[in-house]
Amino acid sequence: MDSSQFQPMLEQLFQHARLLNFDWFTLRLSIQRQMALRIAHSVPCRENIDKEDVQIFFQGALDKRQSSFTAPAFDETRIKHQIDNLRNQILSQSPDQEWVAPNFLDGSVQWKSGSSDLWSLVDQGKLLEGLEQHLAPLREQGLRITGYVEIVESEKIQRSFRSPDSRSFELATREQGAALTVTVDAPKKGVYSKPDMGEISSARRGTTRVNDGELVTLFGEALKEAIQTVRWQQNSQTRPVALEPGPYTVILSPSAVAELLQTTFMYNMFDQRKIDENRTYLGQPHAQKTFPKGLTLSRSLKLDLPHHQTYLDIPFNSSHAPCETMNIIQEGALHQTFVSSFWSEKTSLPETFSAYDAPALSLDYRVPQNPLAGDSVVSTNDLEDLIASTEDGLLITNLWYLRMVSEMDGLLTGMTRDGFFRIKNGSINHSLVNMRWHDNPFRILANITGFSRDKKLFGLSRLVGGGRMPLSLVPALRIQGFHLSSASKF
Amino acid sequence: MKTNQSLSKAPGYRDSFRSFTPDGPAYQERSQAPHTVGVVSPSPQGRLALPITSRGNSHEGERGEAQIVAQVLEILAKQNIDYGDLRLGREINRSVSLLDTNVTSHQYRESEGIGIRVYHEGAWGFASTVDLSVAGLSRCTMRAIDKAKLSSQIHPYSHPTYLGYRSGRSGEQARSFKIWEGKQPITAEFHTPVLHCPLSAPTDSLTQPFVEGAAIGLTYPDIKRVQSGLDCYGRRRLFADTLGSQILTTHSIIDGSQRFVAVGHGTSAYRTVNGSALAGGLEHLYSAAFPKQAAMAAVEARLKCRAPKPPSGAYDLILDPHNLALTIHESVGHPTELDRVLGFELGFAGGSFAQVEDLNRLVYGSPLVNFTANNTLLFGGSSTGFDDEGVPCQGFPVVQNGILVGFGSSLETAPHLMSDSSNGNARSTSWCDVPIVRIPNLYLEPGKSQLSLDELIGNTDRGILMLGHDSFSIDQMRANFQFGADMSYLVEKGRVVGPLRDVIYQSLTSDFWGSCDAICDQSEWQMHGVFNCGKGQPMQLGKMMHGAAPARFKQIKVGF
Repeated sequence: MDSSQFQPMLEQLFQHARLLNFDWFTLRLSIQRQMALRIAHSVPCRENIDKEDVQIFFQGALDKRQSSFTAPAFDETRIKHQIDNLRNQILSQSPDQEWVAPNFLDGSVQWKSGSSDLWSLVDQGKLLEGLEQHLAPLREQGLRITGYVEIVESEKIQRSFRSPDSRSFELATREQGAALTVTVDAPKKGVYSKPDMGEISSARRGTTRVNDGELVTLFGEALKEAIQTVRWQQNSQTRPVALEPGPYTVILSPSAVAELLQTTFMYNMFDQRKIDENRTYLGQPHAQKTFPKGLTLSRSLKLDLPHHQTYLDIPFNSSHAPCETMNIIQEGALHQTFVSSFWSEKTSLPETFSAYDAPALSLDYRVPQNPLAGDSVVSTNDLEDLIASTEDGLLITNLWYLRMVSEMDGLLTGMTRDGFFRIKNGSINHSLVNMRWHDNPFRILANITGFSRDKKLFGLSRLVGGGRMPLSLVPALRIQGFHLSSASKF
Repeated sequence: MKTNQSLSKAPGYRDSFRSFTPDGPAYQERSQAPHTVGVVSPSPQGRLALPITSRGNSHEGERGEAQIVAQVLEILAKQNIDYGDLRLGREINRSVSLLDTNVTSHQYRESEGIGIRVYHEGAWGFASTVDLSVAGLSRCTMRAIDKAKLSSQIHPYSHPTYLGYRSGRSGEQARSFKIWEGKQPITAEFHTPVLHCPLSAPTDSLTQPFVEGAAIGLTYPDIKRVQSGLDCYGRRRLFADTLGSQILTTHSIIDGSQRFVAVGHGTSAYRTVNGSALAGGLEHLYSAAFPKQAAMAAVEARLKCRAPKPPSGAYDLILDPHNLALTIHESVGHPTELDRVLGFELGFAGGSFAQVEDLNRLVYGSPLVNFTANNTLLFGGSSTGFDDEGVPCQGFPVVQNGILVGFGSSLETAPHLMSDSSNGNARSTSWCDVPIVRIPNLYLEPGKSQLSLDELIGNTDRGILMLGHDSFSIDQMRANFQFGADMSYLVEKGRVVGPLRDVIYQSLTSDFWGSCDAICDQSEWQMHGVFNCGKGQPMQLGKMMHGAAPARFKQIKVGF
């Protein structure tokens, strides 16, 4: 399916809605295609999934009341009827006193990344053969691989209209992305037994440069990383041991860092209104707002990817307001928070917009020219170097099931997963029984003592899936005083 | 009022829960619940009012469900595949959000399409589309077939070989075994009883209970905001397979919550009233009586602002049914999903500490602990008549007298238990999703001896009473967990002595259920639904119900 076949209908619907005198409305056509492979028991394709969806989204506002619907994008008459119904029903709602009309420019923008025909770039036969070439020898070695490869193409055409000044804006986007995860273990009691204690590892990758060759390469990279971790575990001199609860120096792999930061954003902990109303940790007088001087945390419109690639994000939000990169932490200090339209009107603070749908996140550290006293952050090439520079600590390769425990304390919890080790004298010494942890992400960032210049891109958080994948470009970090609270059984 | 006979005749139906059948008191109570807005008309025929629209391209005219299904089955038959099934569906999600008494969002999301699944020579192919035209259906069906054939050429999933691993079948028997062998073709209909359709009701009939509740809450000092939300889900689904099954179902679930946020004493806290996510219509919204609970919730939110955190340590915990519902879901429901047990989900959702060999051996809890699955229970989110592989919903024991005795299974996973038949737990969230094993309606049986919550508190020397749920997290093997509560009180010498805040408990699954030393009787038993249970790749959101009476757990770690 192609958006051009829906253009005449889109125009008819837009003109129909204009006549209904909404204060503001937006109309969006979305076409999404998804190809997914589920790998189980080292066979490349337990399930081979192919989904396509075409929807119309309409949102209208009148007298501070707003409502929306999503409908299958085939029946123009039916959608017109739904717009009429929405217009009739909207006035029976109580008004939203905090609603602010979106502010956007007059005009149109095309924002298209990648090829117009994703599936011609991804030959599924070649992709499956490439995966099988990686998997076949691993089956022989008795390794069990579980995994998932997801490729998504999303095409959207969205038009917004505002009555008072007859301003309209059209944004046409096409985006492509892929993400994959692999989990490796070496079950000794047969393919259907649970993983042996401590001998399981996983790795993830994301990309916006989608073709079957790239995916096979990334799959091989992720496999290599996960297998290396399993080998570390198998080479341990002792069986995995359970640590006593308490504070430890830990190295968080890039995957773990991405999970931690995405979760912090998911709970809106940087929302200025929540801060001002003392409904979140940063509203507390004792909140941690300073960090190592070279640290920058951004919602970025531009990511510098490995291999001299650049990712450019759409510079508009879902209401079509133009937006810029936000430096939330800059040079080690809390710099920018999220200010909504309503809160901007109420407080006169400048409004901040984050980019369309799910903006990319990046964490960076640059050695400051004039470091503060005690600001002793070690800079290494990559994760391996960071491990080598650590006398005594723990390596956490993945975090799992992160949740807020107390927002006023900024306290999160979660588990270690698929790769947890003791580091002694700069090398992996033995694997550990997985543990629960409780800690504060702001305190964690404040307690960075090391980082890797090598960063990894993740396109699919375990918490957030869906059509357009939030991207994170992050390094490995070494943290002091990370609080572990209780051991699991494996 | 039309009732569906399968609810009371299905296997697994329990006399002890007669109150939740259509002629029982709980159902009567909901059917007689006062309507806060008098314009909601009864749902026709006592089922979801969700007409199917089967459209094709304009030149083809309207085509009925039967024609759509027949076209797909015909292609599948011609292509000589081993097995195929389809789900033709229409779904509506309607949600409303309020801040204080203002409606901030009203969303109506409708989707319609078909998902086709093909099994061929040891591999699954799946394709879905919204294009129900003749050409669109043909393309989609061939995509599913091509996916299955391509996968089987690269490397078949080799299911028969794996089946031989555990099932005790000889190599030859295993190779010739078909996963659908024990399945019977069925022609049937099932409709979840719905008194008042939530999908077509006027918006103010959905929001009025929350507006009233918010207005009450905002009269209390320190209550700075009230956040409310209502989610309504309705679906019509036609299942068909190459064995000859054709099953039409309609299903509806409604869920609501209202959170009172207090800011005071240098901090912030909230208390939430929940609507329980049960199958049916607006009758559940009205019987949840949000306005009646608003004052108490506002008072408790304020109390939490001043309440101390308990010192970390071991406490006896008295957990209410709402708190237990989530603990049951995470620590009993997920680890007894057979696909997790067999390692299919190790890459994301995770595995299970329980194994097939543990069946009838593993001590899951104390002898008081009995868990029963029952997908025929009225109001249960998983009570859909049939699962998405066309297997009848049914009941089965999961834990009996503390011993693990059952797993939830699907056509593909059941043979690993030396059973040829699924117990009907393969579900797809939408027509465009692949069925996977999901948690059934799963509940903790009430205690056999008479015991009220007041009596349980009365015979507790020192402990914490925990109400509702809050923060939750569990490891991927479902062993180490942490749960919080929406409201907690310290209990000393048989009396509730004062509020606490930010109480969390940590434990290991079998240690926790093994510490259960008292469960209240049937009069205290309640059900609470789960509206969005995330699992699978691509992610799917399941719906099910959990029930419990308040129970006590000895010396559980509180704090961290």
